[in-house]
Amino acid sequence: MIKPLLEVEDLSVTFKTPHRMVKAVRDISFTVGKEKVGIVGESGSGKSATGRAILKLTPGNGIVSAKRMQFEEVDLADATEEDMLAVRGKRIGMILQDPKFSLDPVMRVGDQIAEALPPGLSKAEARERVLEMLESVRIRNPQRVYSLYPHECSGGMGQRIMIAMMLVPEPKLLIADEPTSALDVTVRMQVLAILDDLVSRRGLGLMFISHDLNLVATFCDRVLIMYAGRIVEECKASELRQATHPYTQGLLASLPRIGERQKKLATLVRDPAWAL
Amino acid sequence: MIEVENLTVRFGKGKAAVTAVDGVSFKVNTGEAFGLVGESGCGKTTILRALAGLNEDWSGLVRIDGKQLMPHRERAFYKLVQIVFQDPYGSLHPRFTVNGTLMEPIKIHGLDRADERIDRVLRQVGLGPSFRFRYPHQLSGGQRQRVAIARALILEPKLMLLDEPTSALDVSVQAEILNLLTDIRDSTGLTFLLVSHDLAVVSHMCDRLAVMNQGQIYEELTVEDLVQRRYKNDYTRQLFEASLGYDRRLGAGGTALEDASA
Repeated sequence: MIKPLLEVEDLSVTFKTPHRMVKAVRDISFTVGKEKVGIVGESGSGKSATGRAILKLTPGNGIVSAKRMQFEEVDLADATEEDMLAVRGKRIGMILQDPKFSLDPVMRVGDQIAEALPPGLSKAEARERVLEMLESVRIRNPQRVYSLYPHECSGGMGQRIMIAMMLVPEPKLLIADEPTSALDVTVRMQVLAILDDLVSRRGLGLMFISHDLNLVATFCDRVLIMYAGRIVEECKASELRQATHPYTQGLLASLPRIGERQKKLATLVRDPAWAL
Repeated sequence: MIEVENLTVRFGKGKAAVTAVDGVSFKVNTGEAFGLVGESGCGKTTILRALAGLNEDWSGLVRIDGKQLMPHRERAFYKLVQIVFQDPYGSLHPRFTVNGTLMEPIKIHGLDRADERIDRVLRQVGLGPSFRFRYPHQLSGGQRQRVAIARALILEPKLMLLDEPTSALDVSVQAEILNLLTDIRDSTGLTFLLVSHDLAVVSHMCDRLAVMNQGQIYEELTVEDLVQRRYKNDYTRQLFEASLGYDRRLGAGGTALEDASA
């Protein structure tokens, strides 16, 4: 078996609040190889906290513990802040939900992408590289887009610019946290196709965090379903419909579907035992 | 119940003017549930806000319940038409208890038997009187949306305008709210005008729908026609296929949409 890019064992994230300790992620273990791994769950299930913990971006009131968090040869569990500088952005990239908040509003997008390039390039070389990157995420007119400010870009374009920026250092693993939920459905398909190509052509590993079961089932290779900080089920994306855990089944049943008209939708009855 | 003819809404003046709704016409029958579907910026919410009287700057002809509407509305209009907004975190006053929120329409319209009305409407939305003195921050997203629905229902309107009522909620909560809306429609015979970007939600709730893009209605069809893929418009097909999930073919093609909003 090929060694996975990322191996996580018994990861926990706990947040300290004035009143109590909140366990957002509880002893989860998983691996990510050169594949599309979907992490699905409802709000508060711990899926985003998991993504952040891998990059050690957990906010100050959070405590992360893990038996093992191995990314290639780097032991993330023991990595110092200095070690992480060599990993973050460079070897593990991250794309967030809304490009409006991720881009610098007062800087031309081309110049923002150029910041991610290695130092020492001439201005002309840097521009050339940025235009290449913009083209690789299917921006039709890179020359024009280079000099736009973020507010002049549509959501779909902004998200492609973010992806272009993340790809400049050629990371091995990309953590995408709801990368398409702020986008319109038709644009969403294009952004997903770009991510899909990256995995199949460049051998990237993709951690795709989403609340959209339908999307994950059709886009990813493998799915982890999270509930109350735990992975309650893991399966092949194509077999999600045959999921066995009552939570997964409940979620799937509560989705309205075109062409399956039922008077009432099934509602999820939560069993406290799932959270144990 | 609703007749809209040639409704046009413009924002801004002169060169910077944007036509958000461009000569839209449609009819909704009494007791029907009608959906307006489209992507962000297509003008669906703008139509709803013009109908609700939240935006007085529009042109065209609108009749609700047989009466032609002027841009400015009388108080009686709001007894007839109520709206539920998308974001239950933004649409409830944070310093009002549920009771305070529900008392507002009662006071404005000078209704009697306030206690009885509030208790009844809270039961109707599945919360019960025990929720009456809670603040919004003590409620979950789904419970807040139930309060927003209760606030609309307490005036016993004939027409309910729903602006993406579940898009801020988790799917399991969405199912509960959609079921609640179905129950309410069954028991009261209300007319629904539902705005949503989610074709699956609209096809679950509605009888007929209109597909909008760039301020215009591209196509009007029954849900049955949609399910049988009897749509005529290519944009409807795109929305339909995209709502089924990821498909390499759909994203593989071009950059046709790239510059649309730039």
